[in-house]
Amino acid sequence: MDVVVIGISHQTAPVEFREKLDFSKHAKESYLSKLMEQQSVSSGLVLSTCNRVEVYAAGQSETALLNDAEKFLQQFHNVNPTEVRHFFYSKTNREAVKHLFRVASSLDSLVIGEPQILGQVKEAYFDARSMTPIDPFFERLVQKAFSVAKRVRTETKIAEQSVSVSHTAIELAEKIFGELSHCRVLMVGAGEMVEIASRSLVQRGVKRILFANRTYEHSVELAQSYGGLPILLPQMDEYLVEADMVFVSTSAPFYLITREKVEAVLSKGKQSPMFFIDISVPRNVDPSIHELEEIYLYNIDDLKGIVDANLQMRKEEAEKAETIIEAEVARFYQGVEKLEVAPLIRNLQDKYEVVLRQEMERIQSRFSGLTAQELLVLEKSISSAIRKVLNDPILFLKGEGNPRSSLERAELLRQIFRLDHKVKEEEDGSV
Amino acid sequence: MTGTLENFLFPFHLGVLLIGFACFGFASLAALVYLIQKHELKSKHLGKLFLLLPSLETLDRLAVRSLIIGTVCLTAGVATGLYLAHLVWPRDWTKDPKVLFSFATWLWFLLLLGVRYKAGWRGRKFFVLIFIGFLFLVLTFLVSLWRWM
Repeated sequence: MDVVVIGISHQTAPVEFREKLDFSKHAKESYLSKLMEQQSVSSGLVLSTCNRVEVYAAGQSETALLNDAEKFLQQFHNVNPTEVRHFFYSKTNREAVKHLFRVASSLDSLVIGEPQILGQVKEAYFDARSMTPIDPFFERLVQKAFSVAKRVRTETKIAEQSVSVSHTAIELAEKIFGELSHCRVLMVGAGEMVEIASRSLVQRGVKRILFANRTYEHSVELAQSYGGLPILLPQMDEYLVEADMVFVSTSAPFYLITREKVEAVLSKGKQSPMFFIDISVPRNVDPSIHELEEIYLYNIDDLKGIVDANLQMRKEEAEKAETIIEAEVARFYQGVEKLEVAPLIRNLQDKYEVVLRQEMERIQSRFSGLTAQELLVLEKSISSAIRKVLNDPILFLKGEGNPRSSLERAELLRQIFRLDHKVKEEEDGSV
Repeated sequence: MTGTLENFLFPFHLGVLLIGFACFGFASLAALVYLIQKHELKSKHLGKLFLLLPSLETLDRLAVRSLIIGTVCLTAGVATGLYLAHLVWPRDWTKDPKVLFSFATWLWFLLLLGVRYKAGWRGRKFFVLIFIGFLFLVLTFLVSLWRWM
């Protein structure tokens, strides 16, 4: 059984082109049925995310599979083959299997180690399975991809540290406060970062979340979206004393939170730690407050520094993951080979079992004077001779270290011993 | 002295003091780790150590809980110790340095709980007090050993 992949990704094609080939805007049934209509494809799936569009297909001929998969992509999206060919990459068999394992393990992602891709591969597989029966080889391949992705995630630190500024800030907060469920948070400003951070904080069940903004309506909107309380910006100072964590992201060209304000909070007897995150440029929190006891301030550069270090760590971990994947590809093929070889050995033995039975019947009918014991001895001798004769071809079939792949060996043996032919046909030409 | 050792309260006295000692040791260790983790956060150079160590809040909670359990054990240990000392030296037990050291250590830890719960002390200054308390305790222990020998 051959397997191929053909597709485009963030590494080979610009977003305008990825959009053109995007499958997610089409009904699953429409494109999956088109794929399965291709003559060479016995099983397949379509993986379509914002960073990649890939078609995986399994069948008997890799050349036919590649042609059909490419034709499917071009025809379904109605794109000109000459215009698009240089964006495509295609891989076959071992390389295709390795590619699927790398994609599922998030080694081929734009942000290495991002967790969504595995879910997307699973979804693509379940969609395909709901449409058409999947053959055992392809089933085995995809299940293996899931288990490899899991192994990579547990045995390497590829997804351990956050690579987004907002999540890094929250991870730092957890290193200060532990569980965030007793934390009171003050969000100052608006924007995407504030929204991402608010969402994560609410998910972690913070005790209270306040939104302060120059435009009160914005505070109200955010408060409604994330179940918090809106406050006016001038009220911020009086709420500062109650806050454990303060997230600031505004476009104000001056320090909104000065050292005096924080010292005023401390002078009111606040002794528990306070964590300030200032992602504004120019900065909105006086950097000197970090010198104060139990006050921690991280600005955008501090957080980016951590993110860069985490990305570097993920890249280092990705190298370990590549070794795991190489080993798993080899193991996958060993498993497949065993699957292909075992039935062949059984076929071979069955075929000569039939020969033995027929020979015994012939002897019995020709030499009617033979006793049961003599017949038994004869049967044992013929059976032993057959076993000895078959021993070498079986060893050849199992033979590790043989330069031919086991699939090639199996094919050779199938032809030599004419395993696709019934014994009766052979008999005609025999004694 | 023989009377003290034979008294059934002696093993109890020894047991609670040992538990108390372990608790204060653990509180000091948690305080030390807190200061290391705090240093990591302040320096903004977040290495593998930072990832391995627990949060400041967890360390603070561990230290304070150990301190409370340790103080309860020390209270029981000091009380039984005073009673046993009274049996052996009815008049001049107050002059025994071991007893005086134990008493001072106990008072120090009571004071610690006071500053935590009345004045709300936390962080570096509070943990420095724990270290001093632990030093007192080690001294008391050494004095006890010396007296015994």
